[in-house]
Amino acid sequence: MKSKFILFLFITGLLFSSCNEKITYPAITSPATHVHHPGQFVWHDLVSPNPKASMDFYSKVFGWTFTTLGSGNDTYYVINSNGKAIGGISKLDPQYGTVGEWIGSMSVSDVSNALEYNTTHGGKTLFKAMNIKGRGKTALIQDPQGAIVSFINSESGDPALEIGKTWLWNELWTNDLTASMNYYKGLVPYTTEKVEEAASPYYVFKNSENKLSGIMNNPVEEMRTSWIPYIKVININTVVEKARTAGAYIISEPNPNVRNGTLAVIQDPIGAKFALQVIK
Amino acid sequence: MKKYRSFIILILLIISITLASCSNMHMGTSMGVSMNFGSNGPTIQPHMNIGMSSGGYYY
Repeated sequence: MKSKFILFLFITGLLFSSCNEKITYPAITSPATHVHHPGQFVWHDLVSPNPKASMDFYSKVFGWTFTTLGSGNDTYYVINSNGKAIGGISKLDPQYGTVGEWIGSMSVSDVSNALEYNTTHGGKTLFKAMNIKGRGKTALIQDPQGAIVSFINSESGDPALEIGKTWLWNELWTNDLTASMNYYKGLVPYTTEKVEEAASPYYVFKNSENKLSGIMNNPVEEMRTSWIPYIKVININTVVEKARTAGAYIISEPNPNVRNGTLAVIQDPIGAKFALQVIK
Repeated sequence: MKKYRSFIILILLIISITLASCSNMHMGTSMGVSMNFGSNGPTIQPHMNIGMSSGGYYY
């Protein structure tokens, strides 16, 4: 009788602990730096209505592997590249749409202040600020021009200001260049520098002398203002063919007349857009 | 015999319609985008203005 009671308590305890289990997300940077660079993109998440199909695509094209955290509606798939966590995939609830999207996390010094700034300037808060174990304080917003981005104040600090092994760049494709520039310059300590060699107006967002992201007029018809992540590749034609074979739509093929054929823009089979660029 | 032939034709028609709907269908629109019906459901295929696509990281 006593052993049955102990077993009952044990099982109840297990159930209770699993119900209250909190996922510990991978740190934004490891080892921790505890230094923040407002305006830097420090993490990338893919929200997808079909995480399994998304994982299948990115494993075929880039060789990424995935670690599953949590379960049910709280499942989060950590993206690993060369043994390092570089991003995540979470399921997009059908009520928010049926098309995937890459969402970058922009470092801000104070998430609450950033949210207030966004609201004051006509943006929307999609998910209010919350503290996420292992990650820090974060919120999801839509800026006044329509771009979706996450604000974050990482508990481990931000990565070093250098080109990463996977993510090369983040670029805002905007339907209102002046309004978007002014918005982000007020949000984080960005200054802008015009790239004279660009074929169309292009500006780099800088914090001090560090190039943190770019902005240009939206080149895609019928698309809302969006942040586009760039993935670094060595052989762009090989990656484009892999993506095409895996079901992607190539929005822009490498073209010798556009940055010497070093760029491609891709829409994955679930609808998420990203760009490829060859690094020298 | 005539009934049997009609039945076979009907079956072949149904099979061909089914196979066609299983494959990726493509439909152009006049709005600068195309719609593709793939295994993951309908997706928009956006068109890019190449003359404006001078983005990317500048060293």
